[in-house]
Amino acid sequence: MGTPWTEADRDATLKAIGFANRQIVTAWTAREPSRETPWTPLGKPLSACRVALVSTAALALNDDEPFDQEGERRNPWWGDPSYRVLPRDTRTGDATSWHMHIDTSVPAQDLDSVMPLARLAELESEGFVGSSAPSHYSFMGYILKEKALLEGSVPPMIAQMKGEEVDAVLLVPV
Amino acid sequence: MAGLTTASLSTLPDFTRAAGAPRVAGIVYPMGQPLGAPGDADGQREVLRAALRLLEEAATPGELVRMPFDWPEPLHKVKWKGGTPPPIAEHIKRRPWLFPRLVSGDIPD
Repeated sequence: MGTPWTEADRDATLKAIGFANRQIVTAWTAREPSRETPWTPLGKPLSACRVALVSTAALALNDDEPFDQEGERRNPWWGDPSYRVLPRDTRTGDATSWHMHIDTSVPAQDLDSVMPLARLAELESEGFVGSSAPSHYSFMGYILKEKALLEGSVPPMIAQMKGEEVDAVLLVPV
Repeated sequence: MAGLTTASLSTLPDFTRAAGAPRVAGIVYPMGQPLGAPGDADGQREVLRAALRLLEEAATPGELVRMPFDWPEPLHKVKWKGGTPPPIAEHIKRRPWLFPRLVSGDIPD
């Protein structure tokens, strides 16, 4: 399906993030070890699947604990590796993006630019997906050392997805 | 235990792919708004639909496809309208000799 991702596409997206970020992303991409790609086929049509979203925009409900920005100010090499749960009916204004590496005016204006819960509800209504899961997830994408995220946050997110009988997940690295 | 079927929607899909993501929808949109601009509900819905379709249609582990949407202006002209400067930027500005550690992934504790 779809058209191939070209060198011109890569150049356009890398040019847009600026010189320093381009150097960092290019080096980190090249350094990733080759590994076996995990593969779980979709066991049923999308129209019968329960779908969950994961966004790296560091979204927390307004009555939930913010992501720790003070900790990152104290040690700029550190990023808060925790995660938050957003119920399926979360809409613009219900949650805040606690992220110092993206333009947070975007999710403040429209949550669906980074976490499309309203759009997913529409696709549920038209029958394109079976359902939007009861819970969706967000963590903060500036994590230079992934251990605490992978060991502390990912397993409980997966456990909750399995508990809610999620079939498929759309990851949205912001 | 069975895994979960995932797809990723990314503005830096080569990076996402290198990290081992099995199905990657690359989109030529600005970092920080992968679904589309605030207020563009119709556009966001079509991006979401196309990315979700990959869950069903991707046939090969590691498949990376380009989403068939284009941003209305060159990406490098998109200006940030808010947000907080990242502490690491100021930190490195004052200590430029540390930049190679950020590039090489030799991250201090």
